[in-house]
Amino acid sequence: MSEISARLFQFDRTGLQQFPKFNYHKNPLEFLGLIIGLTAAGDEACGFDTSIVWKGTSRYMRNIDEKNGPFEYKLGGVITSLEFTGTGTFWWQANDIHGTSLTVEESWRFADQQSGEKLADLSRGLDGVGQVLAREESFNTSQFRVPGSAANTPVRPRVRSRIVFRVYANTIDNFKSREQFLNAFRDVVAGMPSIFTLFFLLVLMSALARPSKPVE
Amino acid sequence: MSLLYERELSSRVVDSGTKFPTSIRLHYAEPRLRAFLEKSPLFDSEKEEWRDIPQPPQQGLDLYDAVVVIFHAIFAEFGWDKLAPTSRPRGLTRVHSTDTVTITRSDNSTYSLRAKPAVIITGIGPNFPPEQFRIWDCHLFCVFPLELKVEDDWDDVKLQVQAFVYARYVTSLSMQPTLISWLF
Repeated sequence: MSEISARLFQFDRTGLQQFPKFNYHKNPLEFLGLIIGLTAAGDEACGFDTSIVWKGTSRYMRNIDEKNGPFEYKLGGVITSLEFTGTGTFWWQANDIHGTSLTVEESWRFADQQSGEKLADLSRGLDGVGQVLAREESFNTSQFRVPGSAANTPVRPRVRSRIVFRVYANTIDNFKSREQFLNAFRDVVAGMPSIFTLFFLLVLMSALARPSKPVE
Repeated sequence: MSLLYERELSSRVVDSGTKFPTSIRLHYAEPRLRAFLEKSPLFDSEKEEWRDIPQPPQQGLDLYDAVVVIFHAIFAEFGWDKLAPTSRPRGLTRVHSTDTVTITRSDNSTYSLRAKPAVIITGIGPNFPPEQFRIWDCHLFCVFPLELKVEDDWDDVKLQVQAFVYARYVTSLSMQPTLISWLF
């Protein structure tokens, strides 16, 4: 808002959608409608992630991979990326109801890119690769955009992907010696070059814990 | 830093082509809005202007207080009964306002940013501190106004970048991810 005009900006993982500037003195009804509309709309329409809820002082994430039954994961810390647009990957530390340690990875891939499902299938059962326990894709950024708005400036929509991995061992920063670190790294590169990028972090975790490769 | 943000945003800006977002249903009945405008001391129907909004070259007046009072009146009128019906929003503190800054040009002439137009950036986001302007209990929707004094030649790109900085700040405060951010 300036002294004369107001305009609405909407940011999401694909970038910025800007609405026309208007004089809020001459168009007070539009001004009221905009403020009331935004603040009175439903949580999901406003862009809040309603699958994450608070119970007391703890956070929970609900219903990933709903077809296999309702799940609820207790969330711990989160590692976030600095970028605002783009993949915007989050890693949540989580526990299921049995106390099993998990990692939930959230990211926004391009909607026309290959989904992670095929890669997850390829990796299933492979030694040294963190296994996917549940996954889902929801929210396409185009649902937040005015239809046709990207016609003149094509912006590739993104889809949010959530993947739940089991945590097998400590993270890479827990290595005890340089040799241990290099051995773990070697296992990663030698073991799974084709899916190296996607599962880099999880492979490192599990490689450190592999009983067949004791390292000191 | 702003160059980095400008680069991140470049080619990712889309004009909506419409006045309002289609994903947000505008919940209001026009007669009720008109009645509010007519009875509110904040709006002058004859002159068609919100009272107390300063004119751009006016020396020393901030936009901040007038805007906050207008927002508060709107929220109090249209159903957020958690707000105290006071003339000034309770608990809302000025989070940022530029002081007078005198700029010296290369020819040694000076000008003051204080007299320049102001821009208020505000929006809705999760997890602003509870003592801030809480609108809804559910996910702590809040307005969080930020006032900037800008130069005459502030263009759309500078405004986009500044709104972007604000949006990143909102997101960094989030205790849960927000899928989109609305700023106005």
